[in-house]
Amino acid sequence: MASLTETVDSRPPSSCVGGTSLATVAENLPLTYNMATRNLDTAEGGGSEQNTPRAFKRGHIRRSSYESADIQLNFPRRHDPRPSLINRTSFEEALCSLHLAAREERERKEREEAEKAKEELRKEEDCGLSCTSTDTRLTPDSAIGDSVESKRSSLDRKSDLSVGDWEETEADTPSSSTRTRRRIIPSINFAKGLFSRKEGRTSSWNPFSKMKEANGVVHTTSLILEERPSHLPAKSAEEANRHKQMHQEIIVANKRREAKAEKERARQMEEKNRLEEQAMSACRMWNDQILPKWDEMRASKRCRELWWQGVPSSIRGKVWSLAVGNGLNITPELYDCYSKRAEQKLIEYTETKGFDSSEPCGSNGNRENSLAQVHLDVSRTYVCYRPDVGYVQSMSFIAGLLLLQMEPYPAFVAFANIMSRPLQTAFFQLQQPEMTEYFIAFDRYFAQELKELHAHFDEIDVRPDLYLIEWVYTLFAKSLPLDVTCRVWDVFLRDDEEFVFKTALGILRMHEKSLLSADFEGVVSFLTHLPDSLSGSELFRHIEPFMRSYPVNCETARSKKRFFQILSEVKEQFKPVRSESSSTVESSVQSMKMSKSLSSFIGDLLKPSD
Amino acid sequence: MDPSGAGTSNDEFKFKVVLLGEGAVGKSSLMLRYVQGQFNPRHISTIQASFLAKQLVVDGADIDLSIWDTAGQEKYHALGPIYYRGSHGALLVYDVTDAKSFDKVKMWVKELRRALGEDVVLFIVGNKVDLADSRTIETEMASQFAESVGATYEETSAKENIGVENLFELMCSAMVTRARAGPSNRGPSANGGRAGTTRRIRIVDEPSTGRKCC
Repeated sequence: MASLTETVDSRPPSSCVGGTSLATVAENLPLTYNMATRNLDTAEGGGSEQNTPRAFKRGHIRRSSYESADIQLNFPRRHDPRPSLINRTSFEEALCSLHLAAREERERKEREEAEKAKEELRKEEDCGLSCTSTDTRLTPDSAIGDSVESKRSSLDRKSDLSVGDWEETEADTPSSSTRTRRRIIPSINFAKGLFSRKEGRTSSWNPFSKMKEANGVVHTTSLILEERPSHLPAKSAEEANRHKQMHQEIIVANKRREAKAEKERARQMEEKNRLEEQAMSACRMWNDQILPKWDEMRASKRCRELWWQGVPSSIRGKVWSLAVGNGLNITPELYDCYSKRAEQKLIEYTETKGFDSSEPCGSNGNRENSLAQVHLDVSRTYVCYRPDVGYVQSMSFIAGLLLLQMEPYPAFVAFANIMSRPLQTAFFQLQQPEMTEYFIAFDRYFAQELKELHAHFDEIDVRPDLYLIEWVYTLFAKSLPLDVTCRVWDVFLRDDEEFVFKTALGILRMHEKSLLSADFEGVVSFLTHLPDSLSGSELFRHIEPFMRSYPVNCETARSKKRFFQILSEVKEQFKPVRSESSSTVESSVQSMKMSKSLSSFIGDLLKPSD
Repeated sequence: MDPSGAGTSNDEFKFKVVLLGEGAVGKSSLMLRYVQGQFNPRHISTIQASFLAKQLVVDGADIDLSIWDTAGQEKYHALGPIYYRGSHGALLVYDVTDAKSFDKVKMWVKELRRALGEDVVLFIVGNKVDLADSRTIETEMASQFAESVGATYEETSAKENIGVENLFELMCSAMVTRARAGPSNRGPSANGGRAGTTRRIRIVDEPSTGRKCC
């Protein structure tokens, strides 16, 4: 690969006809187009150009329009690409070698290559090198827009100009040609990143092309810097002037856009750096100051703040372990004892039952996934530890997430201790009165915080249990993407059950708009199948307002209650009737304040099941 | 079907159907096979319950079918009433290779009859008939039992897509018949208030019009 340090923006390519300081892409693009309309009718009609007319017009210069037209016209179908490469400019060499590499390596290496290119970019940036393996003339091209599509079209364009003959050979096998195109994207990114950093003058061509599509003037106005083709009458002075002026306007507008885009990029970069910096310092803080003095630090404001931002993944397991604690005093010996018993049970089970993968805790013979096997072990061990609770179908989610962060023994300790928390006790042991309390409390909390949505849900009969049960049982592990779940757990382990309900409200709040217009089916299927793309930071932004209602002395907060206050109120109301017969419990619960849809559900929940 | 009547004079029904049965007998798989045409051998066990909807036309009636799939694990049994309340039909599913799951069906029959009375359409479904080799519950026995409790017996395989479509159509047909016979004195179904904006898939045979030309 060649190394070029010269740049296009500061100095027009020597072959460029315009010769003014404005010798940017703008001038060249329409010329190319002009030549095309005039001379390249055949090429337009039959060539691969046809597929990418937009890309063509968008004006990716690599050379003057004459030059490119030359290639189009005079060497349209060269059949041996390799020799021709030698004489080309360096950027073409770079491209061609990429092409070749791409062809040789095929699909399998695609990802690796993208990675490599990215890495290279990073390295280059860090070193502050101005050398590039690609001609910088590529850069306007890559700055066209951020959409992959435009990158791809620019690639198409490139192949047409520099290695057009390949395009033809490869066009026979469309899949391979698209593969080749995609393969080059990293190099473009590379150039783009480099350019934006070094030159600070990248042009954003997207608006340009938009403009062109909108009013169809751009490509004709830019003709001013060229004489008209010889067989057409020359422009009048007036027309030439007008064209010049229009062209100026376009250039100015583009410059403005470039500056704006550049500013935006700089801002994003800064933001990224800031976040990275923050994460680094957070990690240091956790390691140096919080973890060594856990007991005194854990309640500190600084620690809580850091915690809210998410525990760094490297120490997440440790923090979780510490946060859950070991109130049950489980010892390694105890764990060994129970896990051995569980193992024994498993052996007996597989012996008597044989291979039967349909059983939920079935044989591990055909489970290649060792993690699955292990996490079944934690919940299975738990079954031996607490046979009265037994295995409940969602335990594996909780055990699995813990095992992702820590070793089996601490995972077991954390698991057992989480299971002994009041919320989990109520649900996993199906203590219906307690579950009822939680549902009523959530219902009131929901009504207090998101009044409109609550009313809508009540109207279309969406009861909280339809979505809440799954969220509580798996602590969101089944519903949210893994990284988001981890962040939710971070705070769940800090704030306990209250945060489960806040997260639930956060999810509802995040999608409030669409939920408000959805019907029963829409709401239920959405909430039970949350999108995989759900963003953690956005979710936390929506949870934040529920965290803020903390200061009790604040005027506005007085009317609003925190979840645990609501819960204890419900418990208070519930207590006197708990000891009575189930029918009175039911009737007195029915008289409690709650939404219509919930009250019918509570009736079912409290009905004696045996 | 009468071409002029199709689409205009169709009755409209909203039915709620609940799938009940032992864990891992294939309730979720039946539902997914029917509604989405898919089968996943590694389906994650259902936690609590899930819900899918389907529209179809049976016996000249437009039917909005909402299917409730429940968790089969014993632990969740107590939550059953929440989901079967207000159902027009129940599919009691067992695994033909697992005698224990058939016992569970018997238990569900009792509970449903007690809770919902004679009004509910009961289907007993023997699933996994593709596993003929390890079968332990014979058709004879199951259908006799079904008859004795006033239920219909069907056999399916969600994996091989045997009898699934048929099962739900028979079920709808039975519910339509029952609904037409006696104007329902049931309250509004669980999802009574929802807006009628759902997309309707009409499965109506087009009357053949091409006869004249040859």
